Amino acid sequence: MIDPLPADALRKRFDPSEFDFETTEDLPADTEVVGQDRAVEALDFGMSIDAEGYNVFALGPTGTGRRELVQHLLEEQAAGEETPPDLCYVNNFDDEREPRALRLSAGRGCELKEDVDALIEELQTALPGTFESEEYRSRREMIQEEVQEGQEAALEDLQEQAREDGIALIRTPQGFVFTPLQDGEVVPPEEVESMPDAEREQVQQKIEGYQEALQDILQKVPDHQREARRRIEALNEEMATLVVDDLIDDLRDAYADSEDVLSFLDSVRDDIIENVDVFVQSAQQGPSSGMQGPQQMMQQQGQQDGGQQAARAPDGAFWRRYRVNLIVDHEDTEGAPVVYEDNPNYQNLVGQVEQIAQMGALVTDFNLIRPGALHEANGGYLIVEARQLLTQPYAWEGLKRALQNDEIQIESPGQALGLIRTLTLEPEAVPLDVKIVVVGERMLYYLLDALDPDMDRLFKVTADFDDQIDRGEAQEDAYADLLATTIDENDLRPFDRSAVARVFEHSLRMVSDTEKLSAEVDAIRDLVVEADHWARDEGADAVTDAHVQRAIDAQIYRADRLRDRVQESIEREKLYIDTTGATVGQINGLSYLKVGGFSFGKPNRITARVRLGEGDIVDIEREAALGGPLHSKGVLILSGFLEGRFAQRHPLSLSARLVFEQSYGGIDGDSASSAELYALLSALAEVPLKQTLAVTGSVNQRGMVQPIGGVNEKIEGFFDVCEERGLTGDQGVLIPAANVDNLMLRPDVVAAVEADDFHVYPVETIDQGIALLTGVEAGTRDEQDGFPDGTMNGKVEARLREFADRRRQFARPNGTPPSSTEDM
Amino acid sequence: MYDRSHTPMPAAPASNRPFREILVALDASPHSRAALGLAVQLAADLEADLDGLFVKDANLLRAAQLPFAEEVRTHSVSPKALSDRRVQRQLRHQAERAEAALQEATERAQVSYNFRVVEGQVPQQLLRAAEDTDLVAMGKTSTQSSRRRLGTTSRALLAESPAPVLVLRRATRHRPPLFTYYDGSDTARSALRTAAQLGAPGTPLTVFLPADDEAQAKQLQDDVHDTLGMHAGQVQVRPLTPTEADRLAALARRQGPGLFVMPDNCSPLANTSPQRFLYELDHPLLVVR
Repeated sequence: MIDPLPADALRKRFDPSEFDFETTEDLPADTEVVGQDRAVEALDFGMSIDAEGYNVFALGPTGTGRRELVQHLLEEQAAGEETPPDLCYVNNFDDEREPRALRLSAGRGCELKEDVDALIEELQTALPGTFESEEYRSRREMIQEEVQEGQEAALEDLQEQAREDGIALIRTPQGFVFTPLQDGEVVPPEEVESMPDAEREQVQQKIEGYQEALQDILQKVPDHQREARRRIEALNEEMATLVVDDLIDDLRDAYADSEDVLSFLDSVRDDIIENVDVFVQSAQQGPSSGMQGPQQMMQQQGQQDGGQQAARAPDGAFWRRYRVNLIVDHEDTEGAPVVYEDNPNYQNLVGQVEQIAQMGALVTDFNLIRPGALHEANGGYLIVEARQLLTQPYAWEGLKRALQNDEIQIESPGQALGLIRTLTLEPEAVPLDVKIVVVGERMLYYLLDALDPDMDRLFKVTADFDDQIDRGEAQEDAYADLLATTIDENDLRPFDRSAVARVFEHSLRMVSDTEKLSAEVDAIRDLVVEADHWARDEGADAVTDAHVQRAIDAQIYRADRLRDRVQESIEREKLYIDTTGATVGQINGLSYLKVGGFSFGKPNRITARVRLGEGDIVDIEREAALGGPLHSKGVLILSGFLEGRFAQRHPLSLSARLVFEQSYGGIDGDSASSAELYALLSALAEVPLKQTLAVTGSVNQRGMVQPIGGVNEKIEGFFDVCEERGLTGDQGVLIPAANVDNLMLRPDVVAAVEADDFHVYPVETIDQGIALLTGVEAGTRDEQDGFPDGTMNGKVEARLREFADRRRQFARPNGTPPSSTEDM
Repeated sequence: MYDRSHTPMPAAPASNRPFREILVALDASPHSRAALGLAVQLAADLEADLDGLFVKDANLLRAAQLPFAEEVRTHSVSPKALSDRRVQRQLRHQAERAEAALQEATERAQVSYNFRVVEGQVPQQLLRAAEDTDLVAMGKTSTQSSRRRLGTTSRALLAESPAPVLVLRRATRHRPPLFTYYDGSDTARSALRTAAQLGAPGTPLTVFLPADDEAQAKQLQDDVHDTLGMHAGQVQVRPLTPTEADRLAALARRQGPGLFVMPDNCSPLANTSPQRFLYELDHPLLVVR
């Protein structure tokens, strides 16, 4: 018979007096991470290596503070790095559909934008002023008059010549007409009618001659006008050049070090001069009354063909074309940027070209280019969450494309997919130099790795975050400081030593392992915050273990409605669980349920019935499709055990039924297989099993009891039932011996064990377990290759042999029992 | 536009009003529009009646009746036959537009107007009409033409009109500064008075004085002050050297936009052609008889 575990083996206790601080106030509170050495080293490596494709996938369970940690580490690294250049988009005057990108050293982008805005403001007054000036007006009129005067002189000459010839030139509303003249008066029609034919003919011929001459003059009008226009254009350009050059030359000096800016300024200058008609025409409409200030009506199309719409004064929309759209401004950035994009959809990543609805149409220009997270992070680091990235349509593809091409191309998803080809902008692509850290759950990483061939090329570094931390002295110290950091960051009351010890214990319980601490810093933070809440509730200055315990109890209470119902059902005997007496073929198994982050254990009655048969053990759960594959596997192993131990000489002539009583949902896992085996052995040996005990543990074909999960919850589940009914001192739970270091039981359980009211037995083999459950020794094979009579194994073997014999009898043709001679 | 409470000027007796009836010669040209504008201004200031006159050119009507009449146009390749009916229609249309322009301009200024359409030789008809009016306002030419040109009708009226003639090419700003020329003659005195009466209070008036020496200048200046009496306050005198007197038009032009009131037959006008004078002046010119 094995002994129950002593009380101190059931729970790892932290002795508050062993901490070398009084409260968390005494700690430096500068720990961001405990353990996670693998992940931290991987991140360091990923950040420092300067090669293509060394982006990082930080994987690990949620709640381990991955993202915050990554951001913290990146910010530390980035602070010492160079700040990348600013990025602006400016108009491409050669092709407005493809705006140009300008990169200027950090902070100068903003300067350029302001300088250009100031330039525009000055031009807005200087240019119209020039074209409204008297000087311009008179020079322009001079040109027009020179041309017109030439024209009029020719006309007057002709008129004079005709007059001498007796022909008058008269203006009509639309042109000119020649008519015969007599004594300075037009000849009345009647007189012409009455002229002799020859004379009339003569007059008519003369007139025709003059008409031809007039037409020659008139036909030159368009030529002359064109000439005048050309000269006026030259004049306009000359005037505009004077104004523009004067203003732009200052800027040119300021940006002499940047070829790109100089070429942009040149193109602005050329474009203004080219579009000078806009100012000329508005100046002629009247003094600049039409300046509409910052009204941002867009009229892109109108601007491009210049003439038609330009009769009104150039407003804000016109000047938009010269502006600088500052996309990325690093004026206030120190070191390299670290950007966390919390909504990594396609457009938030690669940027977008927005549009304005105008008169029912959507229009856009380079001023509406908006940056994406990649622009902001270019030259630094970008953090995104894998789940968010993958749930946004095309975001993953967009990110990969940017990484593969080493450039950011702003396109709408429709464009990128080739679905939409409306006329829009194609901004110049910007070279991309960024480290991406994708933070996600392990499953996502493994799925991506398996399904996406690009993963290996683009995310060469994995930073794997653990959900547990190895427990050691150094780690414990760091963990305490991590608590202090959390307390400090959340501005909470200090935790005294007992409270810290209690948090530590809870951390062990969270991972169900006395050798590990939980890395789920989110849950720990919640506990700390809640404990602080209860401390404040009580008006305490410091948080003590009582507050922590209260926080834990409250957490459990909030979540354990379902467990209460289960316990109540058992108490009111809706669920049959015996905790006293002994019954053949019936045992208390233990199941483990996890609902909404809360887990608890629950006893289950397992029964076994046997009869003569062909060696099949029927798992009713499986037959009813309520058992999962692991459960079925556990039951099949039982056959292996029975055959191996008892059916070496004769067939296993047994038919057994195993069932989880009152189980209406599914059941899975093999942790009940040892209980099932005990029930089966009890049924075969017809020896009753103590109902005061509950059992957990899986079993292998050799009869070894193997570890299982949720051992604490299972023990507590049975304990609660027993306690409710009153502890008898006989009650207890059989657990696999290998699970002893997972024990982190509730203090009340530990207290009951201490009082010898409850027991936990570490069991290594089925034989140990059956002895405990029946009080009958299991028995080992002796030299005669049989089990001693009176032992459990002996009884089982005897029963099985009996089954085999009877089966053989049934197998005879006449069905009569064999004679003793035949038995030889 | 006309805030009479601030400029209570034509409360003066009727004799102080130089023009009680203004005739404006209308055609389709921008020059005539400008003349209309200024005439309306004057009519409003002086509470004068405005008569619009549109003359259908008898020469054109006759020419259109000729069997072989053909019209040469600027933008067509060959001459088009000209029919009487079409010319009639076009002239009627122009007259309607002229009346509409007159109506619109007078409505805004709250001036009453008459409008007449007559048929005949344009200069003769205008000269006849000028006999019954105090001022004839007209555009420099009947077409959109260069600054240099002076239309035959304007030329005829400047030479022969019994009434003062106002000729201009471009719209002026409201209440332009006034200029005049005083050489001591009766006409010049009359021109000086007219100029002073045209100006609302506060309108500057510059008087050019042709003087060979200072004594003469002083004499003329005193004359000016005597003639104007109480109005003399806002008057500036500007003695001219003989060279300046020869180039008076150009000199006046450099003074900026304004209305130049000239006595007829004074030496600057007599010594040069009206066309040249107007070209150099390039501002409205009012010739007082």
